[in-house]
Amino acid sequence: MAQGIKPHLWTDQYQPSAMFGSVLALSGVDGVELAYHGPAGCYTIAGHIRTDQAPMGTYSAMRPSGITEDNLVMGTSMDKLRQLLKFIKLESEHTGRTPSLVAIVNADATAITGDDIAGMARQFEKETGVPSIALDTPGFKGWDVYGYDLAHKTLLAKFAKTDVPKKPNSVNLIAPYLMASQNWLFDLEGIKQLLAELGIEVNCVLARNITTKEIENFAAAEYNLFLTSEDFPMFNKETEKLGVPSFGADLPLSYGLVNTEEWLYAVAKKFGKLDEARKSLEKASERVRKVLRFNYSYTWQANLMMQKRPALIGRAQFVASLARSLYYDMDMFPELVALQAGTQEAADRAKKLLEPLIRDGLTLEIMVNPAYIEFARAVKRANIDFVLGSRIEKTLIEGMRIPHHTISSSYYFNTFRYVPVPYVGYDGILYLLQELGLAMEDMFHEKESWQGKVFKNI
Amino acid sequence: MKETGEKKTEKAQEKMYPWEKVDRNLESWEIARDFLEMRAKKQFELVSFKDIIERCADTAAAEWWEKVQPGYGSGLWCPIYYAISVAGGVRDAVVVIHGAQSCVTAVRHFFALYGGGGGGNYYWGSPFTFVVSTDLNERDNILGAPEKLKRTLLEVDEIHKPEIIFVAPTCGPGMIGEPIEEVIEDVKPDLKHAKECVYLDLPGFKAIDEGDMMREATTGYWTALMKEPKKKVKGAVNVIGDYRGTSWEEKDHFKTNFPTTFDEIGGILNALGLKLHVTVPQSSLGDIRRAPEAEFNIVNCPMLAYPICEEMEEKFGIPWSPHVYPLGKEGITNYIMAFAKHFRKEKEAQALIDEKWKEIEPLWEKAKKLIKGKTILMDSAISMTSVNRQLGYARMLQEMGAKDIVFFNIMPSEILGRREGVEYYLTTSAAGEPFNPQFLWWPAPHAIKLSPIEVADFLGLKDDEILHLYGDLGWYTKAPRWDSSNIAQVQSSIHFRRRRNVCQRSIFFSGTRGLLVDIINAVEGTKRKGNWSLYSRILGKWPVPAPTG
Repeated sequence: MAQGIKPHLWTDQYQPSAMFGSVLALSGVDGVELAYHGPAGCYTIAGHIRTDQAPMGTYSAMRPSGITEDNLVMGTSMDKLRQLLKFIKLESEHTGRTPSLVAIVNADATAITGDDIAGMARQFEKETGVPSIALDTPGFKGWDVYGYDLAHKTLLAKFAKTDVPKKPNSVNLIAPYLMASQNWLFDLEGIKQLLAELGIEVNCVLARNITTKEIENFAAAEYNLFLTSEDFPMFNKETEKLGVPSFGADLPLSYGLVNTEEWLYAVAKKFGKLDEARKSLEKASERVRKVLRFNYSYTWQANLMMQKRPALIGRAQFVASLARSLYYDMDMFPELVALQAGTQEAADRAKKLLEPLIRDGLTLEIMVNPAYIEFARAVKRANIDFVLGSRIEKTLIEGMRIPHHTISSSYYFNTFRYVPVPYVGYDGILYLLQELGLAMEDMFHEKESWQGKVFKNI
Repeated sequence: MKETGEKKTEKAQEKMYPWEKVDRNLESWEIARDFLEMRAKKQFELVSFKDIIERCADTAAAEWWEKVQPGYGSGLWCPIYYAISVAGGVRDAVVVIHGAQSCVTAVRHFFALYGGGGGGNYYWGSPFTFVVSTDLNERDNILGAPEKLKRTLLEVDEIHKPEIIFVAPTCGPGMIGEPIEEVIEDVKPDLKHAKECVYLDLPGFKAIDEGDMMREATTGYWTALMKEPKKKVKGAVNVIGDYRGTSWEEKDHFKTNFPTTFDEIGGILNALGLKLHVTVPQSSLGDIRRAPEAEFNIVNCPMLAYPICEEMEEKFGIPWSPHVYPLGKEGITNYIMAFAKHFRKEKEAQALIDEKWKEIEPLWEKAKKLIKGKTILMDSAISMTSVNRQLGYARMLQEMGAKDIVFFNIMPSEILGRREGVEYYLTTSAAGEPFNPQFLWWPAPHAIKLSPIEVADFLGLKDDEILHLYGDLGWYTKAPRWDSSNIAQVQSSIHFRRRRNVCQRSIFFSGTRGLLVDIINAVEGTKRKGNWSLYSRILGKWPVPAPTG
C-alpha cells in the first residue's frame, strides 16, 4: 500500500485519494462507463475528478448506486449495485451505445461492508459481453498513487497482450496526471511533441485518450517512460510480465531549460538519438530567443524576478523540477520547498533532484508532506517573497499577506487555462515566464495604497 | 394552465409519492425504463407547491431517496462538507476529521473556490481552515482507532493552538460506532489551548438532501456553545444562519470586494437606531457565547437558521422572525417590519424603506413592463440552486405581476428536505395573491433533469414568452434556440450572481436592484437574435456565416 511519508500520525495537507487515482485513470479510456458504488457525496467528487480528462479527451460516463444509511445498516447495498448494473445495461440498449469497458469503483462505506464488486463485474461481463473490471480503491487505501497503480495494473491485466511485435523507437507514457502541473493536459501534448522531434513514437499513454485496442498493444513499446517519480509496484510487476522495461522516474520533469536538457538527453540516449535532441534544442532556443531578445517586457520581468526568494509547495517531482528551473534559469532563490509525496521513492527522488542546488550554493529547506500550519510558519520564518503552489493553499498564504500564484495540482477544473500551450520544453519557458509575470505583478503592486489614496472626486 | 378549484381538491386527495405512480412489482431498473418512456410521452403534471407539501405530509426526504432508481444522483453533497464548511468558518478553529484523509481532500478540492470554509474559499472570503484528518487506514476503519483520535486531538491542540476544535467522523467510523464522544470527554481536561471541543455527528451517509444536512449541522451544536447572558444589549439583533461572507466592515474593519449581506443588514439596523450584534454560526467562539445578549434574531438562510432560532427562543427567550430572502418592496418590508415592530420602530422603518425604494422604482417599472405576459421558468438543474432562494426570486416576480411561474428540476425530496423554508413561503403573499407557485411534477427520481425546451414545449410557450432563471448553464444550452440571444435568461445561482455594490447574497435593496438590472438586460438582450453565444455554439450548432459584401 502506498502510505507515503508522514511527519505526524495525522495529516493536514492536500492528499488526493486512491479513489481519485482510479477514477481519473479509468476516465482516460475511451468509451468507459464507471459504475460508482458509494454514497452521493463521494460520487460528487468522483464526478468532478473525471472531468480532468475531458478537454481534448474523454468525458467518461458515470452512474452512482446511491448508497444510503439504510442500505448500509440493512445490508442492501449490493442490491443497489445490482440494480445499477441492470440500469447501465438498459441505458446501453436504449441509447444504442455500448461501453468499451464497465468499471465498478467503490467508496469507503461499500468497501467496509465488503461488497463483492469483483464478482459483480465478472457477472456483468458474462451477461453482456462488455469487458468489466472492479477497482477496490476506497479513500482509506491511501494516496492517489494506489488508485493509479491498481487502475494501470488492472487495465494491463485485462487487455494487454504479450504476443505483439515490438515497434522500434516507441514508448508508453505512464501517469501523465502525476506531472501534477495545473497545465498537465497540455504539458502531455508538449511531451509528445518533444518525443516526436526525436523520432520517438508514443505507443500508449496510460491512461489518457486511449482505446482498449491500444492497451492490447501496450507491449509493443520499447520502453515505458514514467512521467512521475512515484512508485507503482503493481504496475511494475505487470509490465515486467509484458517485457517492457521502464525508465524516467529519476529524471526531472522537463520544466525550464536545465530540466529539459537533462530530460531530453536522457530520453534520447536510450534510443541513440542524442544528435536529434541537440538539434531540437537548438531550434527551440532560436524560437525562444526570437521572442525574448531585446524584449523590454522580458528584461524588466527578469530584473523583477532576479534574486527573489519564493517557496514552493506541491507534488514532489513537480516542485523539485520547478525549483531547479527557478534557481538555474531565472536566478531566483527558492529557499523553501515542500514536497508532497505519496511514496518514499517520490520523496527520495525529489530530494536527489534538489541536491545539486544545495551543492551549487542555495540555502534550501526541504519539507516532506508538512502540515499546512507548519508550512505557513516556515514561510513566515523564512521571509519568503511569494509562494508557488496550488489553489488549495492560496487562501492560507494570501491570508498571511504573502503573494501566491497557482501553478501546480492535477485538477484542471477552474484553472481558467484554455490556450493549448505547454509549460514543458524550451518553448514552455515562455508560458512559465508568463505565469511568473503574474506572480510578480501580485508581489510588486501596491493595491491597498492605490485604494487608500484614491482620488476623492471620482 | 391552471387547474379548476374542484379538480385541485380531487388531486389533493391523491398521493404524490413516485412509488405509487409506478408498478413497484417491477425491478428498479425497469421502473427507470418506464420513466424514460413517460418522459418521452411528456407525462408531466402541473401542481402547486402547496399540493406537494400537503400530499407528501409524512414523507422525509430520505424516504424519497430510498425509492430512487439507481443511476441517478448527481449534484448531491455530503454531510461532512457541511460539517467542515459550517464549523470551519468559526474563527481560529481547527476541524478534525476522524476517518480517511480522502474526505478532507474532497472537500478542499470542491470548496476552495465557492464553498464555505473547508480550507478557505475564494468567493466568500472564509479564511483558510486547518482541517486535520486522523488518516485512518483500512484496518482502522473496520476495527476502530480511538487512540489515534485521542493523540491527534492532543497534538493538534499543541501544534495548532486553536481556540476551538470540531470533530466529525467520515463514513467508516460512523458505521462502526466509534466512541468519539467518549474520546472527546477523555481528552478535554488535557487540552491546553482549545476552550471547546465539539463533536459533529455528520458522516457521509447520514443524509441525502442538503436541507437535511443543514439541519443536522445546526441542530443542538451552536446553542450548546452559548452562555446565559449577564446583561441584554439594548437594540441588539443577531443574524442567524449563514456560513458564507460572514464578515462585516463595521466590526471586522476591512472592506470586502462585494459588500456582505451583513454590511447591508447592519446599515439598515443602524439607520433605525439598532445594532447588528453577532452572526451565528460563523463567528468567534466569544461572539457565539454572547449571542444570547441580543434582543431579537433575524434569519439569513432558513435551513441553517430556523433550528438555531427555535433553540435560542426556547433556551434564552429570544424572539425571532422567520422572514427570508427579502427581495422586492413587499419582501423587504415584511423582513424589516418584523424586527421594527418588535422595537416599535415601524414609522422610521417605513420612511427608510420608502426612501431607499425611490432609487429602485424606475428599474422596477421598466422590468415590470418587460416581463409582462411572460411565463417564468424557474429551473434548478443542479443543486447550486436551492429551492428557497428561487422561491425568493419567484415571490418578487409575482409582486412584479408575473402570473405564471413554473418550477421544474427541483426534486420533490429537495422541497421536503427544505420543508420549513418552503412552508414559510407558502404563508406569504405578493401583489395581493397568496404565494403558491406551480411545480412541474412527474414521478421521476432526482437527477433525471428535464430541459427547459421540453418544459417550454409542454407548456406551449413561444420563445419570447419565456423568462428563464437557471442555476448553471446546462447541456441544453444549445444554439440556435436555447441561447441568451433568443430567450431571456437570468442566472440565479448564489455563487455566480455577484454585481458591483450588490450584497453577497443578492438580497435587500441592493439585491433587488441587481436582479432588476439582470432581468432588464436579459430581456433586452434577446434583440441579439442570431448572434449566438460561444457557450451555446459549443453545445449546439456552430455554422460559420458566409462572408458578406
